[in-house]
Amino acid sequence: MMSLRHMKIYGFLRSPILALYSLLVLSSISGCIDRSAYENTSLGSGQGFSIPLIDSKIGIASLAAKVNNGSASVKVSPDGKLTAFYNGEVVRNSSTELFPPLPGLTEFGLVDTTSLVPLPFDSRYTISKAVFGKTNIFFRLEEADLGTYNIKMTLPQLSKDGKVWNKTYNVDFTTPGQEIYTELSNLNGWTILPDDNKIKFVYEAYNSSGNRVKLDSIAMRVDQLVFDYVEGYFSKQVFELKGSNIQISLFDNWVSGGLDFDNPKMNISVENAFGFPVRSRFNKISLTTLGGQSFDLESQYINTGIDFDYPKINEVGEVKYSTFSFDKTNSNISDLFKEKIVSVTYDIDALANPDDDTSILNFVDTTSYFSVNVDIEIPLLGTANDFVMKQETDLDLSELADAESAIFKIIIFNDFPTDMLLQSYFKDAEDNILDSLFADGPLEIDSAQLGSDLKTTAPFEETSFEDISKEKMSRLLSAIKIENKISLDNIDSYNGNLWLYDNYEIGLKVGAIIKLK
Amino acid sequence: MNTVPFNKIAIISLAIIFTFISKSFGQDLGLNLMTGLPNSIINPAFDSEDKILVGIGSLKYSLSNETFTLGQAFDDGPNGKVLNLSNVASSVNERNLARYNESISTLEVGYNFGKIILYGGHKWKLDANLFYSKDLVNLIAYGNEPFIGQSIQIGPNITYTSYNETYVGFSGGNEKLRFGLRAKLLNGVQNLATGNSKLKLTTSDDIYQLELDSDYEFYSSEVLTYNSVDDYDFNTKRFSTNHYFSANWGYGIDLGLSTKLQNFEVFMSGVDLGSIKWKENAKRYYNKSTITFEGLDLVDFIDKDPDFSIEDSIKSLINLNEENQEYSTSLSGKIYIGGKYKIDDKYQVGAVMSREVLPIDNAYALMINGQRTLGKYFKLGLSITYRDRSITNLGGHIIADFSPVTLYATAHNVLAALFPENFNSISIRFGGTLGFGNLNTL
Repeated sequence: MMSLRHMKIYGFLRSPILALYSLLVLSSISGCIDRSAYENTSLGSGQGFSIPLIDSKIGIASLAAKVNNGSASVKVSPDGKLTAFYNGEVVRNSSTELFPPLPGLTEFGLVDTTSLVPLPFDSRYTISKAVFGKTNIFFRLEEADLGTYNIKMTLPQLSKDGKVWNKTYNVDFTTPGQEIYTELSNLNGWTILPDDNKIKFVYEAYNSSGNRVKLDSIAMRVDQLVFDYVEGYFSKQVFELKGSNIQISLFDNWVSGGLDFDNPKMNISVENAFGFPVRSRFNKISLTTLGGQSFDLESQYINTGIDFDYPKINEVGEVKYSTFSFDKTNSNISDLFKEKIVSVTYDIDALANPDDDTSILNFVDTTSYFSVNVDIEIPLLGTANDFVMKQETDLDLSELADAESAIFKIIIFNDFPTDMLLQSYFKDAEDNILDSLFADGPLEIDSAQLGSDLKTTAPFEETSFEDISKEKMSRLLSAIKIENKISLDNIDSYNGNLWLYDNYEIGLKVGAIIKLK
Repeated sequence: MNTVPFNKIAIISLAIIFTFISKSFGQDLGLNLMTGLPNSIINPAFDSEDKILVGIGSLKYSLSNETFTLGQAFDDGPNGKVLNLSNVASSVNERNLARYNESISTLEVGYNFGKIILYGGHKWKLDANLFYSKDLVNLIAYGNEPFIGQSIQIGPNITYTSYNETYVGFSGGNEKLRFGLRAKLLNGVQNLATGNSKLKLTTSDDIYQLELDSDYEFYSSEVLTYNSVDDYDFNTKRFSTNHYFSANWGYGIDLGLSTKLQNFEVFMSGVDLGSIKWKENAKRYYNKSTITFEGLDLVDFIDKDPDFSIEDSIKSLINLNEENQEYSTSLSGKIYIGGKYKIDDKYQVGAVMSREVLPIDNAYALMINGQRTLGKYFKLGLSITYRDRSITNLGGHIIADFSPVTLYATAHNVLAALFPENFNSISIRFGGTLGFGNLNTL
């Protein structure tokens, strides 16, 4: 709550001075003067204290930088033009969502000394190559014929640095029905080249007599199944992305009139490190007006979708960036924004391998991700047509009670190509307007002069004084709310759209001479 | 040596008695010219006809303000006095001095060996001086509105010292020439002393931006409790036996000389020459900076609590540094030079001038005095005094000699003593002595 009680600078200034003087006086008058009369000494009134109240230069870019709510920002082009951005939530999918780590709960039985074990992937996937991550392999063995055995396990499709994976185990079955688990073997970095999504296991087991045997039961297990890299074809499938809503605060305090922008846009920015084609699928894009009506965004691309770039098989590890904008050339967004849009709701999915072209070799590695960022871009090129905003704030002036009157000195300058009207209304609890700040009507701030390049040149500058009489001060002091109203209207001398530049500022300097009762 | 019983009850009793008789009189300058009063207060080179000397107490109050009276500066308000400096702002000088002195002599005992008097005693003293500028008065009176576009110097210079003084002294010589010396052990009670006092306030003529250029420091022992710029407390202690034996020790001397040539006597003295080292809760407060307040930038409050405060913003700029630091202060030394001429057994005239050393300026005073003996018991004096930039001080004194008790009272402006709020300078002293065993009759 704004509280002008804190403007009691005069009280602050005089208190230490009075204290010093009182120290002397109170000390001194104890002897021969009636001290009690001076014990509650107060300072006389009628002083006029001159203090600065406000010294602000407000530009749109600097203002936006202060409003750090994370969803709105203003960017400046190299030539100083301003563009407002309202950002939606960034949606991101990583490789673990495509190939999540599998817990090693399942075992795969080797039914013979040479067995084919299927990879536990979606049946639509065709895996031609995979590199294991943090995966350990081991085997469970059973044999009814007790004794010692020498077992050599080989995975001929699994290799690393040209060496095929094999492992020899010496086990001793001592009791009937005994299960023996072999030691863990780390597969991190080993490359498998599956055949029809299957892996071949070959084992040779010899008993203590040196005879090759087939064990009663042998099964392969892993602690978890993790791949650092997978290559193949991952089929046509839909990745569901979360929908989101973008709030646009341009009209938060709207009263009347309008703002027209030349070319608002809805930007879809995609970062893709997955090695397969991705196409957008727009389930819904709707824009809601200040009045609560919703309109769907219309565009041919809503139906066809948008293809986003992706790293090819020889570009593993790279990130491809794609941006698409719905603008006035390919959609009805510009028309919709004329209806004072306050929010945009969207629901977008990503379609992998949209054309189901199996000739495209897909890949994914641990760094692969796919992110979508949607924002509303409003180039500040447009017009203001009697655009009126107001904001009401609680007010507490109770501690200004000893102010009898005041004179405000207001120095204002305006770089914007916009005429402005300012007024503040002081209200009571029942919303009755008790008085206004500017007695002769709203403070008129003319637009700056416009140059031939449609940029303003000399700012409008004006100094004015506002006399707050004793009677008016009394009315203001009883107010508990203040309503500030500002009206914006384009410069009279030009009818077209004008850019707002980063060097445009409103300067407001206010000082006050406050007379005490 | 006989001593007079002394306790608090005695002090209070004496105070009541002398308060009654002293509402009208009192002034230090006059003590020099009060023949017949055995008193060492002003001049250690005093003489006495009594063998045993006992000072049974004296009280002195002196309040002065060079340019206006309390009555002019204060109006009566519904809840007490209201300081209204607009009444007096036009009459103040560029630099002004307001002062207060208080002295309570509790006891003094001496023995007269004939050519030499030995004595000792105790006093409690308070000495406060405030130098203030015309700009400061105008700022308080009218605010800073009249100073838009100007710079004003508002830093006051204040010294406030209270201390106990325990002394021994002697006065020796013959009828023609006497010399006196008093050595004093000082124990400080409280002190507040300004060092650098630059506080220049500039009010811009743009939107009244404020600039405070400060090189200000002050020292405090037992006076100021400071927490922040808006949380501080000044505490003053009155005379009390509880305030003795602090860690604030100091030393001082008083010197005196007098010479008589038949009916003419010339005297001079230097008193309160010394210093105190302040250790008890001794602190230095200082600020040397130039701070400006140009108003609030609304942009700073956009993403914050909009309950913004100009007062808090200014306070946040003011940073008064505090450090523990022992320090020393000098007493306000005084020099008296004068003479008196005994016309006959009834009449005496005299003059005395004084110079007092203060932190910024010296204070000067001059008194011309006449005294008449009335009968066996009384001596009355009249005086005219220049002090505090005023020559219209008509004073007087009275000595009542009911041997062995002698009572005295003096005031440098009798009307001021009667109507203190209507005069800018008030000074009264009253006290008494006991004298036993007249040397001339032994």
